[in-house]
Amino acid sequence: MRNDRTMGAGSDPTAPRGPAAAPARGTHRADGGTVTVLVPAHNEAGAIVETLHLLGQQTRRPDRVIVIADNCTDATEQLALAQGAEVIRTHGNTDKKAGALNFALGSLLESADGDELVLVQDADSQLAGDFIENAVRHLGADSTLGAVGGVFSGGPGGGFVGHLQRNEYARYARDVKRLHGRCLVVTGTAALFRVRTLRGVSVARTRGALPAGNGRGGVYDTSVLTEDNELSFALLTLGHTILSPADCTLVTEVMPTWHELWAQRLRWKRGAVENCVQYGWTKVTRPYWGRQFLSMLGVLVTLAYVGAIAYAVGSGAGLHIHAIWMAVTAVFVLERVVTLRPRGWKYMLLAATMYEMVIDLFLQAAHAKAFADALFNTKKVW
Amino acid sequence: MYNNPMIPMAASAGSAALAMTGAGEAFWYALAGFALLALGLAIKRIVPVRALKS
Repeated sequence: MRNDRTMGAGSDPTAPRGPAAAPARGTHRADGGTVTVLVPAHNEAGAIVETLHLLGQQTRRPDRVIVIADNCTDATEQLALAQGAEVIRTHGNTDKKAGALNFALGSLLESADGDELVLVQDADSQLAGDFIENAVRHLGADSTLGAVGGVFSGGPGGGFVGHLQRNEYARYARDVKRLHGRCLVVTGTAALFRVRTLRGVSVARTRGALPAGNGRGGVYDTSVLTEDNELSFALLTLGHTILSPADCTLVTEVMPTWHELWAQRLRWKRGAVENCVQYGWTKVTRPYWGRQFLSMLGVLVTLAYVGAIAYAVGSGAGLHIHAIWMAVTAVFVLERVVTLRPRGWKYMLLAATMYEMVIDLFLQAAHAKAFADALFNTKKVW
Repeated sequence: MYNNPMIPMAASAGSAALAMTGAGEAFWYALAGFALLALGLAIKRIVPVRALKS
């Protein structure tokens, strides 16, 4: 990969500053160390202005905001510069987000102090106003923490499929909150790290204590489909803990079509399975293997169950309704209703109709395909 | 996010109907076992949890 570096207005202390860097609110270089935000962006002209604007409005304002323009053919760079962010540009990066982040981190980790902080956030994700303040506080309060990630909700749009994802994300956020921030993955949408933690990951990759990644000590593994899941495994393997506190919230985009949701979930699921295979059966990966096993079992049970129902109806054998299973079903309905409480009573009422079975079965199918792809090593496309 | 098995469980266990396919009892015991596992997880998600003392 050849990378040229184009520094923007933010690299020049005398240059005029836009909203992302303007000291409108909050403190500069406050307690908790310098915070540098890395925003990998590939053709994000539609979202980058809002994202950078909200960074400038943080109660704990970041000290540097660096947009990594990755193979952009739109106005992302110009818009980022106009917002006062620094812009660095990759050329010929074929490793997508992970490659872009490795490029930026390569030089950042060389020059930064170990106690400095790096926030990695997606260009299409908008942080709540106190995200950085809370994340810095959490990271500072626990030296074992390797990363603090965000709890995301779904952004607007996408019609019915967007609505279903917002429900899904609301339930996930509820789960994480009930677990007091204990999470399985530090989300790639927004996560805060110490520089020394990321350096540790880089060194561990070159020494063979972790998967080699790009083979050059890159923090992010460019060979996987889910680099945030892999980095979570890496941090846990090195003895760190990870956290997604309920007060670190953000809004991320939802997939606007079923087609795009299918592609996203194939990537997520296959990536998660392959990360398990990559790390093998370890103390860290056991719970993840367990979840994958249950998930696969769920797919098989669905196939068997739906197949049996279809056969019975088609052959005229008929169905028998049992009171005990009616009661069990009632609990499942209740679960769908209660877990949607964060979205309000209207959504809860609607959930009682079980109309979300549409996305449940859709995701089942995506999981089945992902398992098959991982098993038969089908070409990865994302 | 990447590892949530609850969705497939809810999808596969969310029906009270039993099909009369002539399949062996073992088949239905296996499905029932899975449904009960999903039931346990569903109840776990319904019951309130204690808030953390700050």
